[in-house]
Amino acid sequence: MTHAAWDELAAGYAVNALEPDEEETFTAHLRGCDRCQETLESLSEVTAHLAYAAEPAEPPADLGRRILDAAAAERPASFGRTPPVTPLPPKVRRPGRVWQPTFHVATLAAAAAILAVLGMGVWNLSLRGDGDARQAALQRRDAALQCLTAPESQKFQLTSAGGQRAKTCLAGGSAYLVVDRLDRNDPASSVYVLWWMDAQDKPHAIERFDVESSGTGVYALPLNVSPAEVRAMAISLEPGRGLPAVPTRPIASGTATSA
Amino acid sequence: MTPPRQGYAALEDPALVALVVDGDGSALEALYERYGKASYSLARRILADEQLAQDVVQEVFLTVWRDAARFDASRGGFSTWLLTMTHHKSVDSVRKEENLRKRRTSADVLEFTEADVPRVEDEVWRSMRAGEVRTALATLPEPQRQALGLAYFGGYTQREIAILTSTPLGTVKTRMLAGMKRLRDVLALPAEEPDPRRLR
Repeated sequence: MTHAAWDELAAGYAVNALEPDEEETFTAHLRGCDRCQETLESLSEVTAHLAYAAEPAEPPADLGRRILDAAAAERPASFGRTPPVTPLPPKVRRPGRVWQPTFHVATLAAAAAILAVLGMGVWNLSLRGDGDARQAALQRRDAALQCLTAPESQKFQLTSAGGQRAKTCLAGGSAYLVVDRLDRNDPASSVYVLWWMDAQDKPHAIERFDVESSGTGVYALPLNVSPAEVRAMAISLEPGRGLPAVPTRPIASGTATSA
Repeated sequence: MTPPRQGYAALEDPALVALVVDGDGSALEALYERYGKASYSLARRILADEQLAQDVVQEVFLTVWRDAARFDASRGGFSTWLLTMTHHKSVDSVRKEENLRKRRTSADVLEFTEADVPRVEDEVWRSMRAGEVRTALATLPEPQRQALGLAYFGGYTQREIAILTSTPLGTVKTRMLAGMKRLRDVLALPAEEPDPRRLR
Protein backbone atom coordinates (compact mmCIF):
# COMPACT_ATOMS: atom_id res chain seq x y z
CA MET A 1 0.00 0.00 0.00
CA THR A 2 1.33 3.46 -0.85
CA HIS A 3 1.76 6.17 1.73
CA ALA A 4 -0.94 8.18 0.01
CA ALA A 5 -3.29 5.31 0.76
CA TRP A 6 -2.08 5.12 4.37
CA ASP A 7 -2.68 8.87 4.69
CA GLU A 8 -6.27 8.37 3.57
CA LEU A 9 -6.72 5.67 6.17
CA ALA A 10 -5.17 7.98 8.78
CA ALA A 11 -7.75 10.63 7.90
CA GLY A 12 -10.57 8.12 8.29
CA TYR A 13 -9.09 6.85 11.53
CA ALA A 14 -8.80 10.38 12.93
CA VAL A 15 -12.55 10.85 12.57
CA ASN A 16 -13.39 7.27 13.55
CA ALA A 17 -14.84 6.63 10.11
CA LEU A 18 -13.09 3.43 9.08
CA GLU A 19 -14.77 0.09 8.76
CA PRO A 20 -13.58 -2.48 11.33
CA ASP A 21 -11.34 -4.34 8.87
CA GLU A 22 -9.67 -1.12 7.73
CA GLU A 23 -9.20 0.04 11.28
CA GLU A 24 -7.52 -3.23 12.17
CA THR A 25 -5.20 -2.95 9.16
CA PHE A 26 -4.32 0.63 9.98
CA THR A 27 -3.68 0.15 13.70
CA ALA A 28 -1.42 -2.82 12.92
CA HIS A 29 0.55 -0.66 10.49
CA LEU A 30 0.56 2.31 12.84
CA ARG A 31 2.53 0.49 15.52
CA GLY A 32 5.56 0.25 13.27
CA CYS A 33 5.31 3.43 11.21
CA ASP A 34 6.57 6.70 12.68
CA ARG A 35 5.46 8.60 9.62
CA CYS A 36 1.85 7.50 9.97
CA GLN A 37 1.94 8.22 13.70
CA GLU A 38 3.01 11.78 12.96
CA THR A 39 0.37 12.11 10.24
CA LEU A 40 -2.29 10.86 12.61
CA GLU A 41 -1.23 13.23 15.40
CA SER A 42 -1.37 16.13 12.98
CA LEU A 43 -4.81 15.16 11.64
CA SER A 44 -6.12 14.54 15.16
CA GLU A 45 -5.18 18.11 15.99
CA VAL A 46 -7.41 19.23 13.12
CA THR A 47 -10.32 17.08 14.22
CA ALA A 48 -10.03 18.27 17.82
CA HIS A 49 -10.47 21.82 16.53
CA LEU A 50 -13.57 20.76 14.63
CA ALA A 51 -15.15 20.20 18.03
CA TYR A 52 -15.33 23.95 18.51
CA ALA A 53 -17.65 24.28 15.53
CA ALA A 54 -20.33 22.58 17.60
CA GLU A 55 -22.83 25.01 19.06
CA PRO A 56 -22.00 25.68 22.71
CA ALA A 57 -24.33 23.67 24.92
CA GLU A 58 -24.44 24.10 28.67
CA PRO A 59 -24.19 20.80 30.50
CA PRO A 60 -26.62 20.23 33.36
CA ALA A 61 -25.45 21.88 36.55
CA ASP A 62 -25.17 18.60 38.39
CA LEU A 63 -23.24 16.69 35.73
CA GLY A 64 -19.85 17.63 37.15
CA ARG A 65 -20.93 16.51 40.59
CA ARG A 66 -22.21 13.20 39.28
CA ILE A 67 -18.94 12.58 37.48
CA LEU A 68 -16.93 13.34 40.59
CA ASP A 69 -19.08 11.07 42.70
CA ALA A 70 -18.80 8.23 40.19
CA ALA A 71 -15.04 8.71 40.02
CA ALA A 72 -14.75 8.62 43.80
CA ALA A 73 -16.83 5.46 43.93
CA GLU A 74 -14.41 3.81 41.52
CA ARG A 75 -11.20 4.79 43.24
CA PRO A 76 -11.99 5.75 46.81
CA ALA A 77 -8.66 4.59 48.24
CA SER A 78 -6.39 6.10 45.68
CA PHE A 79 -4.28 8.12 48.06
CA GLY A 80 -1.90 5.29 48.78
CA ARG A 81 1.28 7.24 48.00
CA THR A 82 0.21 10.25 50.02
CA PRO A 83 0.52 10.84 53.75
CA PRO A 84 -2.19 9.39 56.01
CA VAL A 85 -5.62 10.83 55.55
CA THR A 86 -7.34 12.66 58.35
CA PRO A 87 -11.05 12.37 57.58
CA LEU A 88 -13.34 15.26 58.21
CA PRO A 89 -15.94 14.82 60.95
CA PRO A 90 -19.04 13.11 59.51
CA LYS A 91 -21.27 16.12 60.05
CA VAL A 92 -19.03 18.19 57.79
CA ARG A 93 -18.29 15.60 55.18
CA ARG A 94 -20.29 16.00 52.03
CA PRO A 95 -22.13 12.83 51.01
CA GLY A 96 -20.61 10.95 48.16
CA ARG A 97 -17.49 13.07 47.90
CA VAL A 98 -14.93 10.53 48.97
CA TRP A 99 -12.05 12.83 48.14
CA GLN A 100 -13.17 15.60 50.36
CA PRO A 101 -10.06 14.86 52.44
CA THR A 102 -7.93 15.81 49.45
CA PHE A 103 -7.06 19.05 51.10
CA HIS A 104 -5.93 17.14 54.15
CA VAL A 105 -3.53 14.96 52.20
CA ALA A 106 -2.28 17.69 50.02
CA THR A 107 1.43 17.49 50.65
CA LEU A 108 1.88 15.79 47.34
CA ALA A 109 -0.71 17.97 45.69
CA ALA A 110 0.98 21.07 47.01
CA ALA A 111 4.33 19.87 45.74
CA ALA A 112 2.82 19.11 42.37
CA ALA A 113 1.17 22.51 42.28
CA ILE A 114 4.47 24.19 42.97
CA LEU A 115 6.15 21.98 40.41
CA ALA A 116 3.57 23.01 37.87
CA VAL A 117 4.00 26.68 38.58
CA LEU A 118 7.73 26.19 38.25
CA GLY A 119 7.27 24.37 34.98
CA MET A 120 8.14 20.97 36.40
CA GLY A 121 4.77 19.31 36.05
CA VAL A 122 5.56 17.31 32.94
CA TRP A 123 8.93 16.32 34.30
CA ASN A 124 7.24 15.10 37.45
CA LEU A 125 5.03 12.87 35.32
CA SER A 126 8.11 11.05 34.04
CA LEU A 127 9.12 10.05 37.56
CA ARG A 128 7.30 6.76 37.49
CA GLY A 129 8.83 3.56 38.74
CA ASP A 130 11.32 2.84 41.46
CA GLY A 131 15.05 2.65 41.84
CA ASP A 132 18.06 4.73 42.73
CA ALA A 133 17.72 6.98 39.71
CA ARG A 134 14.21 7.92 40.71
CA GLN A 135 15.28 8.53 44.28
CA ALA A 136 18.14 10.74 43.13
CA ALA A 137 15.80 12.61 40.83
CA LEU A 138 13.37 13.20 43.68
CA GLN A 139 16.20 14.52 45.86
CA ARG A 140 17.26 16.91 43.09
CA ARG A 141 13.68 18.01 42.71
CA ASP A 142 13.26 18.64 46.42
CA ALA A 143 16.53 20.57 46.64
CA ALA A 144 15.55 22.64 43.59
CA LEU A 145 12.13 23.31 45.09
CA GLN A 146 13.68 24.39 48.36
CA CYS A 147 15.95 26.80 46.52
CA LEU A 148 13.25 28.15 44.22
CA THR A 149 10.84 28.78 47.05
CA ALA A 150 13.42 30.45 49.32
CA PRO A 151 12.97 34.24 49.14
CA GLU A 152 16.66 34.96 49.59
CA SER A 153 18.03 32.69 46.86
CA GLN A 154 19.08 34.09 43.51
CA LYS A 155 16.93 32.95 40.60
CA PHE A 156 17.12 33.36 36.85
CA GLN A 157 14.48 32.88 34.19
CA LEU A 158 16.13 31.78 30.95
CA THR A 159 14.09 32.18 27.79
CA SER A 160 14.57 32.29 24.04
CA ALA A 161 12.69 33.91 21.19
CA GLY A 162 11.70 30.42 20.09
CA GLY A 163 9.86 29.71 23.33
CA GLN A 164 12.48 27.51 24.97
CA ARG A 165 12.71 28.12 28.66
CA ALA A 166 14.31 27.08 31.92
CA LYS A 167 14.84 28.37 35.44
CA THR A 168 17.95 28.34 37.56
CA CYS A 169 18.41 28.90 41.24
CA LEU A 170 21.76 29.30 43.00
CA ALA A 171 22.34 28.06 46.53
CA GLY A 172 24.83 26.09 48.60
CA GLY A 173 27.44 25.68 45.89
CA SER A 174 24.92 24.32 43.42
CA ALA A 175 23.13 25.70 40.43
CA TYR A 176 19.73 24.05 40.25
CA LEU A 177 18.48 23.99 36.71
CA VAL A 178 14.82 23.31 35.98
CA VAL A 179 14.25 22.79 32.28
CA ASP A 180 10.67 23.42 31.32
CA ARG A 181 10.99 23.31 27.57
CA LEU A 182 14.16 22.58 25.63
CA ASP A 183 14.58 20.49 22.51
CA ARG A 184 16.04 17.06 23.06
CA ASN A 185 19.74 16.94 22.17
CA ASP A 186 21.50 14.01 20.57
CA PRO A 187 23.94 12.86 23.28
CA ALA A 188 26.17 11.28 20.64
CA SER A 189 26.90 14.55 18.92
CA SER A 190 25.90 17.46 21.13
CA VAL A 191 25.50 18.63 24.69
CA TYR A 192 23.87 21.54 26.47
CA VAL A 193 26.03 23.78 28.69
CA LEU A 194 24.90 26.09 31.49
CA TRP A 195 26.85 29.38 31.74
CA TRP A 196 27.09 32.25 34.18
CA MET A 197 28.07 35.81 33.18
CA ASP A 198 30.08 38.13 35.35
CA ALA A 199 29.70 41.89 35.68
CA GLN A 200 31.65 42.37 32.44
CA ASP A 201 29.39 39.86 30.67
CA LYS A 202 32.20 37.38 30.33
CA PRO A 203 30.74 33.84 30.13
CA HIS A 204 31.94 31.04 32.39
CA ALA A 205 30.93 27.45 31.80
CA ILE A 206 29.30 25.68 34.74
CA GLU A 207 28.56 22.17 33.49
CA ARG A 208 27.15 20.09 30.67
CA PHE A 209 23.75 18.41 30.64
CA ASP A 210 21.51 16.44 28.26
CA VAL A 211 17.80 16.93 27.64
CA GLU A 212 15.64 13.89 26.94
CA SER A 213 12.62 13.64 24.71
CA SER A 214 10.23 15.05 27.30
CA GLY A 215 12.00 18.41 26.94
CA THR A 216 12.08 18.73 30.70
CA GLY A 217 14.49 17.94 33.51
CA VAL A 218 15.85 18.95 36.88
CA TYR A 219 19.62 19.16 37.36
CA ALA A 220 21.95 20.02 40.22
CA LEU A 221 25.20 21.38 38.77
CA PRO A 222 28.30 22.41 40.75
CA LEU A 223 28.69 26.16 41.13
CA ASN A 224 32.16 27.44 41.97
CA VAL A 225 31.34 31.10 42.33
CA SER A 226 29.42 33.23 44.79
CA PRO A 227 25.86 33.83 43.55
CA ALA A 228 26.45 37.55 44.15
CA GLU A 229 28.96 37.60 41.30
CA VAL A 230 26.49 36.13 38.82
CA ARG A 231 24.91 38.87 36.71
CA ALA A 232 23.19 36.67 34.15
CA MET A 233 22.95 33.05 33.06
CA ALA A 234 22.63 31.30 29.72
CA ILE A 235 22.28 27.90 28.08
CA SER A 236 24.08 26.92 24.89
CA LEU A 237 23.94 23.88 22.67
CA GLU A 238 27.44 22.70 21.84
CA PRO A 239 28.64 20.34 19.12
CA GLY A 240 30.49 17.32 20.48
CA ARG A 241 30.76 16.62 24.19
CA GLY A 242 33.41 19.13 25.21
CA LEU A 243 33.19 22.15 27.47
CA PRO A 244 34.18 25.17 25.33
CA ALA A 245 35.63 28.46 26.57
CA VAL A 246 32.81 30.48 25.08
CA PRO A 247 29.27 29.50 24.05
CA THR A 248 29.02 28.31 20.46
CA ARG A 249 25.27 28.57 20.05
CA PRO A 250 23.40 30.34 22.86
CA ILE A 251 19.88 28.94 23.25
CA ALA A 252 18.38 30.91 26.13
CA SER A 253 19.50 33.53 28.60
CA GLY A 254 18.22 35.79 31.35
CA THR A 255 19.07 37.98 34.27
CA ALA A 256 18.08 37.60 37.89
CA THR A 257 14.39 37.66 38.74
CA SER A 258 12.78 38.86 41.90
CA ALA A 259 10.42 35.86 42.13
CA MET B 1 0.50 23.61 53.37
CA THR B 2 -2.48 22.96 51.10
CA PRO B 3 -3.13 24.54 47.73
CA PRO B 4 -5.99 27.00 47.79
CA ARG B 5 -8.97 25.64 45.87
CA GLN B 6 -8.78 28.40 43.30
CA GLY B 7 -5.12 27.47 42.79
CA TYR B 8 -6.13 24.50 40.67
CA ALA B 9 -7.60 26.76 38.01
CA ALA B 10 -4.18 28.35 37.54
CA LEU B 11 -2.44 25.05 36.86
CA GLU B 12 -1.65 23.97 33.34
CA ASP B 13 -3.17 20.78 31.97
CA PRO B 14 -0.15 18.49 32.43
CA ALA B 15 0.10 19.48 36.09
CA LEU B 16 -3.59 18.74 36.64
CA VAL B 17 -3.21 15.41 34.87
CA ALA B 18 -0.27 14.57 37.15
CA LEU B 19 -2.48 15.29 40.14
CA VAL B 20 -5.28 13.14 38.73
CA VAL B 21 -2.80 10.28 38.34
CA ASP B 22 -2.09 10.65 42.04
CA GLY B 23 -5.80 10.48 42.86
CA ASP B 24 -6.61 14.14 43.33
CA GLY B 25 -10.31 14.58 42.65
CA SER B 26 -10.06 18.33 42.80
CA ALA B 27 -7.73 18.22 39.80
CA LEU B 28 -10.32 16.18 37.92
CA GLU B 29 -12.90 18.75 38.89
CA ALA B 30 -10.67 21.51 37.53
CA LEU B 31 -10.27 19.66 34.23
CA TYR B 32 -14.03 19.23 34.03
CA GLU B 33 -14.58 22.92 34.67
CA ARG B 34 -12.09 23.68 31.91
CA TYR B 35 -13.27 21.22 29.26
CA GLY B 36 -16.63 19.86 30.38
CA LYS B 37 -18.60 22.31 28.29
CA ALA B 38 -16.56 21.71 25.13
CA SER B 39 -16.89 17.98 25.61
CA TYR B 40 -20.62 18.19 26.26
CA SER B 41 -21.20 20.52 23.32
CA LEU B 42 -19.48 18.11 20.95
CA ALA B 43 -21.31 15.07 22.31
CA ARG B 44 -24.60 16.95 22.18
CA ARG B 45 -23.95 17.95 18.60
CA ILE B 46 -23.18 14.41 17.46
CA LEU B 47 -25.85 12.63 19.48
CA ALA B 48 -28.61 15.26 19.42
CA ASP B 49 -29.72 13.76 22.70
CA GLU B 50 -29.05 15.33 26.08
CA GLN B 51 -29.06 12.15 28.14
CA LEU B 52 -26.75 10.27 25.80
CA ALA B 53 -24.44 13.29 25.67
CA GLN B 54 -24.27 13.36 29.45
CA ASP B 55 -23.45 9.65 29.49
CA VAL B 56 -20.63 10.18 27.03
CA VAL B 57 -19.14 13.10 28.96
CA GLN B 58 -19.31 11.13 32.17
CA GLU B 59 -17.57 8.17 30.54
CA VAL B 60 -14.90 10.47 29.07
CA PHE B 61 -14.00 12.03 32.42
CA LEU B 62 -14.10 8.69 34.17
CA THR B 63 -11.63 7.45 31.57
CA VAL B 64 -9.42 10.42 32.43
CA TRP B 65 -9.72 9.46 36.09
CA ARG B 66 -8.81 5.83 35.39
CA ASP B 67 -6.20 6.28 32.70
CA ALA B 68 -4.68 9.74 33.12
CA ALA B 69 -1.23 8.12 33.15
CA ARG B 70 -1.77 7.18 29.52
CA PHE B 71 -1.85 10.82 28.50
CA ASP B 72 1.41 11.63 26.71
CA ALA B 73 1.99 15.37 26.55
CA SER B 74 4.70 14.92 23.93
CA ARG B 75 2.10 13.61 21.47
CA GLY B 76 -0.39 16.47 21.67
CA GLY B 77 -2.32 18.63 24.06
CA PHE B 78 -4.71 17.38 26.69
CA SER B 79 -7.64 19.09 24.96
CA THR B 80 -6.87 17.14 21.78
CA TRP B 81 -6.79 13.90 23.76
CA LEU B 82 -10.01 14.67 25.60
CA LEU B 83 -11.98 15.90 22.60
CA THR B 84 -10.79 13.03 20.43
CA MET B 85 -11.99 10.67 23.14
CA THR B 86 -15.30 12.53 23.34
CA HIS B 87 -15.70 12.24 19.59
CA HIS B 88 -14.94 8.53 19.48
CA LYS B 89 -17.28 7.69 22.35
CA SER B 90 -20.02 9.84 20.84
CA VAL B 91 -19.68 8.13 17.48
CA ASP B 92 -19.70 4.73 19.13
CA SER B 93 -22.86 5.75 20.94
CA VAL B 94 -24.61 7.13 17.88
CA ARG B 95 -23.87 3.94 15.99
CA LYS B 96 -25.56 1.94 18.72
CA GLU B 97 -28.58 4.20 18.45
CA GLU B 98 -29.39 3.78 14.80
CA ASN B 99 -32.77 5.44 15.23
CA LEU B 100 -30.99 8.65 16.13
CA ARG B 101 -29.33 8.82 12.78
CA LYS B 102 -32.44 7.84 10.92
CA ARG B 103 -34.16 10.91 12.36
CA ARG B 104 -31.43 13.21 11.09
CA THR B 105 -30.87 14.20 7.50
CA SER B 106 -27.50 15.02 6.04
CA ALA B 107 -28.50 18.66 6.08
CA ASP B 108 -29.15 18.51 9.84
CA VAL B 109 -25.72 17.11 10.43
CA LEU B 110 -23.97 19.74 8.36
CA GLU B 111 -25.88 22.81 9.48
CA PHE B 112 -24.43 25.05 12.16
CA THR B 113 -26.24 27.78 13.98
CA GLU B 114 -24.41 30.90 15.06
CA ALA B 115 -23.28 30.87 18.63
CA ASP B 116 -24.90 33.21 21.07
CA VAL B 117 -23.07 36.38 21.91
CA PRO B 118 -20.70 35.41 24.70
CA ARG B 119 -21.98 36.58 28.04
CA VAL B 120 -18.85 36.19 30.03
CA GLU B 121 -15.24 36.90 29.27
CA ASP B 122 -14.30 33.25 29.53
CA GLU B 123 -16.47 32.46 26.51
CA VAL B 124 -14.75 34.89 24.19
CA TRP B 125 -11.83 32.68 23.24
CA ARG B 126 -14.03 29.71 22.52
CA SER B 127 -16.44 31.83 20.51
CA MET B 128 -13.58 33.18 18.44
CA ARG B 129 -12.26 29.67 17.85
CA ALA B 130 -15.72 28.45 16.87
CA GLY B 131 -15.98 31.28 14.36
CA GLU B 132 -12.58 30.47 12.92
CA VAL B 133 -13.39 26.79 12.56
CA ARG B 134 -16.74 27.46 10.91
CA THR B 135 -15.16 29.95 8.56
CA ALA B 136 -12.46 27.43 7.74
CA LEU B 137 -15.10 24.77 7.08
CA ALA B 138 -16.88 27.18 4.77
CA THR B 139 -13.76 27.53 2.64
CA LEU B 140 -13.77 23.84 1.81
CA PRO B 141 -15.27 22.71 -1.48
CA GLU B 142 -18.75 21.39 -0.75
CA PRO B 143 -17.90 17.71 -1.40
CA GLN B 144 -15.00 17.86 1.08
CA ARG B 145 -17.09 19.67 3.68
CA GLN B 146 -19.87 17.15 3.23
CA ALA B 147 -17.60 14.13 3.60
CA LEU B 148 -15.84 15.53 6.65
CA GLY B 149 -19.01 16.78 8.29
CA LEU B 150 -20.91 13.54 7.83
CA ALA B 151 -18.02 11.61 9.33
CA TYR B 152 -17.16 13.91 12.20
CA PHE B 153 -20.54 15.24 13.26
CA GLY B 154 -22.72 12.47 11.85
CA GLY B 155 -20.68 9.47 12.92
CA TYR B 156 -20.89 7.89 9.47
CA THR B 157 -18.13 5.65 8.18
CA GLN B 158 -16.47 6.40 4.87
CA ARG B 159 -18.33 3.50 3.31
CA GLU B 160 -21.68 4.77 4.59
CA ILE B 161 -20.87 8.24 3.27
CA ALA B 162 -20.08 6.75 -0.13
CA ILE B 163 -23.53 5.15 -0.19
CA LEU B 164 -25.33 8.21 1.20
CA THR B 165 -23.77 10.53 -1.34
CA SER B 166 -23.62 8.10 -4.27
CA THR B 167 -19.89 8.63 -4.51
CA PRO B 168 -17.14 6.05 -5.06
CA LEU B 169 -15.49 5.05 -1.77
CA GLY B 170 -12.05 6.04 -3.03
CA THR B 171 -13.31 9.52 -3.80
CA VAL B 172 -14.76 9.90 -0.32
CA LYS B 173 -11.43 8.94 1.21
CA THR B 174 -9.53 11.35 -1.00
CA ARG B 175 -11.95 14.18 -0.24
CA MET B 176 -11.76 13.58 3.48
CA LEU B 177 -7.97 13.71 3.57
CA ALA B 178 -7.87 16.74 1.29
CA GLY B 179 -10.41 18.51 3.47
CA MET B 180 -8.47 17.85 6.64
CA LYS B 181 -5.22 19.04 5.10
CA ARG B 182 -6.89 22.18 3.88
CA LEU B 183 -8.42 22.84 7.28
CA ARG B 184 -5.01 22.41 8.88
CA ASP B 185 -3.61 25.05 6.53
CA VAL B 186 -6.52 27.46 6.86
CA LEU B 187 -6.59 27.21 10.63
CA ALA B 188 -2.81 27.63 10.69
CA LEU B 189 -2.75 25.45 13.75
CA PRO B 190 -0.04 26.60 16.14
CA ALA B 191 2.81 24.32 17.05
CA GLU B 192 1.78 24.77 20.66
CA GLU B 193 -1.59 24.37 22.24
CA PRO B 194 -3.51 27.57 22.90
CA ASP B 195 -3.63 28.52 26.53
CA PRO B 196 -6.06 25.94 27.92
CA ARG B 197 -7.26 28.33 30.60
CA ARG B 198 -8.95 30.22 27.77
CA LEU B 199 -10.86 27.16 26.61
CA ARG B 200 -13.41 26.99 29.34
